[in-house]
Amino acid sequence: MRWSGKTRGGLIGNMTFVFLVKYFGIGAAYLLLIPVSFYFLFFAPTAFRASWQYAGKVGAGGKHFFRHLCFVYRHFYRFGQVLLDRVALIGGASDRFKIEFHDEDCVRNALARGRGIVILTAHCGGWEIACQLFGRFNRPVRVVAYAGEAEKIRKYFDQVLRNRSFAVIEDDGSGDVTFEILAALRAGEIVAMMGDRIKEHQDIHGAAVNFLGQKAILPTGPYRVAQVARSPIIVGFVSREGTYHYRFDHSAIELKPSHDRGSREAAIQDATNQYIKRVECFLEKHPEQWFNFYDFWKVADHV
Amino acid sequence: MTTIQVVGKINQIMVDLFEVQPDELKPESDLHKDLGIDSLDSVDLVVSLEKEFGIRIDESQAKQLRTLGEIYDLVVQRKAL
Repeated sequence: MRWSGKTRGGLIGNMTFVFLVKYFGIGAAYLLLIPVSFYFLFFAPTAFRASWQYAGKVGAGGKHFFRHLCFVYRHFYRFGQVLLDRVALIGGASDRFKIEFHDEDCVRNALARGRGIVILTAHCGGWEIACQLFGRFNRPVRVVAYAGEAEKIRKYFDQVLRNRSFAVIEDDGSGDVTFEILAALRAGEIVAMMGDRIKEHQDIHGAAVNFLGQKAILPTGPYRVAQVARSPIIVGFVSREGTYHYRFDHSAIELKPSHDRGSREAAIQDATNQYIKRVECFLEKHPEQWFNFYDFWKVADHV
Repeated sequence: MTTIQVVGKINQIMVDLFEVQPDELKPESDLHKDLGIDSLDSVDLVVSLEKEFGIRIDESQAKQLRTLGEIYDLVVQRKAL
């Protein structure tokens, strides 16, 4: 199973939450999230199975059925909270949020090299908030996003999240997107990509890694493009620390130089291993902030 | 540099970078179907061509390249041979 690119919740559901955030405050939206998260416990079997499996891997639920179930509930709830925070923060209430961004100089120094930056993140924590943060560097920020989401929902959120400080490069699977990324990096821009999901349209050219004790396949595209453009890679995740409080932690990944296919693949494998270790470190501190609600490991069974 | 030299250098890049067999390198060879070049390889190829021949290939042009012959033509044209 690979990620299909579509998220649950129709347009009306999303509009209801946005309405609550906008007119009654985020607290009201959190309240509605309580029954909605319960609903997902019973009527979203794929997400439930994925969360249950993940809980076992991070040891979050222990061996007790009820504790396991509670974790899954909190997992759904936390996901909802981050989505709502995103609406509030990017939708216009950013002054209410405290966002810690440490070591900005690391990013400035990387940008000074003139080859753009690849920001490699994952579907954990507030990744969209992370992308928003890069607006402070006065460089165009582009986020590579899969174009599989329903058109109506996508357009709606484009409107709601009107204060986005980033533009989206839509990955339609055509392959042309790679040249768009290259052009952006050559222009010294910041390009954010996800390093965790293999999409349905992608060839299985991923790298096998050990993730939480089991083999998983990660995409190698971000490393390949960075390698070709000779752009630095910064791995970063935004964690939700509490109400109105987020924190961005990041560090560079060393991509070894390569001259042929063998050394290139070895360098990418090494970088992918570095990346997944940082994802694991993040999840160790924030186990409820892993937002891949499908069987993440299953794709590895077919490779 | 003659056209034959350009073709030879491009073929060498294909062999070195992508381990393509020399006998597969024909002008009509489709980059994707015949030579197994995916979109990421294409980016790699374009950057290598730029470096080897000291030319700049626009991203919009690069997207149009489908066969090895089109690459030969593009580089020859850019080098104005």
